[in-house]
Amino acid sequence: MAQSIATPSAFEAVVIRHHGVIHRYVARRLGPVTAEDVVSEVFTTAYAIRSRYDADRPDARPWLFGIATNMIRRHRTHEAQVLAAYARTGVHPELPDATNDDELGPALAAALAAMRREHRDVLLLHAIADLTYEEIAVAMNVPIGTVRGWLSRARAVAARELAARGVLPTVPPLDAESKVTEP
Amino acid sequence: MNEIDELFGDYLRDVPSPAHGTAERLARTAVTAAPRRSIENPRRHGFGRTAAIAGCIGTAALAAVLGILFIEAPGEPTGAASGPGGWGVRASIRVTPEPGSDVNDATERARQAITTRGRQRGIDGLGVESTGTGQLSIAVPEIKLGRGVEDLISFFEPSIYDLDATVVAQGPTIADLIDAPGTSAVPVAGYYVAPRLDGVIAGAMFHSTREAADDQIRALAPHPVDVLALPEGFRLIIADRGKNPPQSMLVRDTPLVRSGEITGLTARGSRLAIQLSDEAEKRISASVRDGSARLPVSGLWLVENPEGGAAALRPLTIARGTDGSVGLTMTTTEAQSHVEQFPSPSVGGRLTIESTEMYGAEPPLSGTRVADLPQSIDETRARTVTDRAGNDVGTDEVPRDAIRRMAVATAKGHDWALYAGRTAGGMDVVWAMRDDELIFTNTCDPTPAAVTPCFHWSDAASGVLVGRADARVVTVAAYVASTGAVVAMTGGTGDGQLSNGWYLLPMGEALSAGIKIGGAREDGVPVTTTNSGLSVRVGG
Repeated sequence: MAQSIATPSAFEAVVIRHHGVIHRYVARRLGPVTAEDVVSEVFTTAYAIRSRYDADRPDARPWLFGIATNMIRRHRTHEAQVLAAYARTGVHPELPDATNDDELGPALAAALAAMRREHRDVLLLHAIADLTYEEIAVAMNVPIGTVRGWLSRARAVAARELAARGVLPTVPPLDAESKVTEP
Repeated sequence: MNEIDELFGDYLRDVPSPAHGTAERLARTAVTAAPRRSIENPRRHGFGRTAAIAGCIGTAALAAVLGILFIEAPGEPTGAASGPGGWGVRASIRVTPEPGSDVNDATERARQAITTRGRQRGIDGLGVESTGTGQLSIAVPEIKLGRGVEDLISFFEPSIYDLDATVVAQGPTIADLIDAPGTSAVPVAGYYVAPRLDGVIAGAMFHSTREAADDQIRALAPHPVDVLALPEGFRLIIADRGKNPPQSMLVRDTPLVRSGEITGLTARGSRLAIQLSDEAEKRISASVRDGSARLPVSGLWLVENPEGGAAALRPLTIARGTDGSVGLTMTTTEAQSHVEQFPSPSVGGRLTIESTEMYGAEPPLSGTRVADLPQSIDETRARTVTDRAGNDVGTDEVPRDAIRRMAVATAKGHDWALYAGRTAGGMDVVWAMRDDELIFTNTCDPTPAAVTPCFHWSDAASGVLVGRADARVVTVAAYVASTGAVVAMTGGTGDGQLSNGWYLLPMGEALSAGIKIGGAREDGVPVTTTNSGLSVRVGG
């Protein structure tokens, strides 16, 4: 990544290395149709602002996920509509052949829809994108303590919603939010 | 990860991955118009190591490599296609039928498919003739690169494999496939050279001889590569099965459905429906082990038949649709692109360019000679741009007095202009201007289509789309690929301009979307570009 600042052609390697994982993340949040445009924009933006990249960071992945998360926010209405439709009908509007369990997929969508946007961001960056707390902090440009708090709240809301749909047997109390353990 | 995290980790885990080559196309267009900043970027034929590695991965970039070869070493033409009047490229094409297909049938189907594509793209004067068993001669008017021929004969002809039955070895790199069971006594069919990026396989290039493979290894040095001697009757498949790193697989080359048995493709939104011959349909039905109408069929995979012999896998499972059709879900643009790229009729074989040569002389560029060129053109003369074959071209290779103004427009509160000029080597360079400030510069070679885009992904925020159109085109429009909504056009209510065979489309408000360029001829016939999958962000 740092090399691409001086040598633009080096950015090719950045795109090739990370395109697949960024695409899958965006597609799981917004659906493949919208993801197509969003991912193009992620790398367009990354290329345009690559001079701002912190060259001390060896892995561009968190930085790219941060850009992707910002782009996804521009489509929050679409994401909310998709989540609501999937939760209500059991058929994903853009993925009619989605293979999640018939009950689990819509239940997860309902839980995601019930969360605050930033809580959803940290949960999915952790659960889908496999980012560590520190990487999420880089991606979202917030302190690591904030990441812990948001993730805790996201888990609590998810547990409550999933239990309400009979997916989880127990409901952790919401006041347990602050009791966070490292992954 | 706790239990909650793990549940969400499975959320939509089987979402379709991007098409093979998407990243490479994106990567390649991202940097082609970059200003010359580094002495590492050689002036000509500078297919640098990074680009070469990228070229190993994607079919688009692979074709670019082939394009270089065609330019540097055009062989003697063996074809008999009569060159249409004017100028263009004549090529000799070899047709290699897939096992089970007759060579003469495949050759005739290929002739028909190329002719059909030429008609769809509005190419007048395209000549396609059979010159012998498995041989075609093709004459493509008004192009000057072998890459243009490649565009014309590259089809999406997938086949279907049952991986549960055919995979004999797999692993993160092709080194994991060496000495796979049942391959030790089998003759070698060729060699794959596979570079690694960050220790992960980054595609593979096929070579029929060890010497050619060694040349490739030297070209990539000191980058780490793996080499696999491909056993005859086997195939290498690189699969991104939804997780990093991608897997390489050695499979027995016994497809459940040959490409020639796929009779048609239909895009229904984001679903690609596959029409099969009766025999193939029976085989698929017999392979649906779970009997479900909706669930993906485990183990059945759609496999592309890519150029250059390297096998690539669509990481998508086949699913039975509610209407009974076999198909799979992908992005809408991707599905449409596959339909556009499917040959009519299906060929059932691979087409390879054996030789190319130019015929006739390209006419000089028209346009208006401007005594006082915008200062920003002079100030940015020392830039490197890349042509469609991957060659670097210095914009200062265009003589200053050869630069012409091709189109102008006043729109969106700005004055827009397009300038173009030709190098001594015959490459055309464009400069897109806004209020006399350079927005971007690129090469722009004519393609075998009536409308050619001359902008790249990295020109994203420029706010203007430019390109060339042949003399019969009267309207050019830019539209959102997924919705068809027109966002800029020439003529009528549009602000764009079409003159001297070039178009200039000033854009409106900021827009984030995959863009296609299309147009119409005077007789109302719609025309499309060769690069219809181009995805750019336009606007600020």
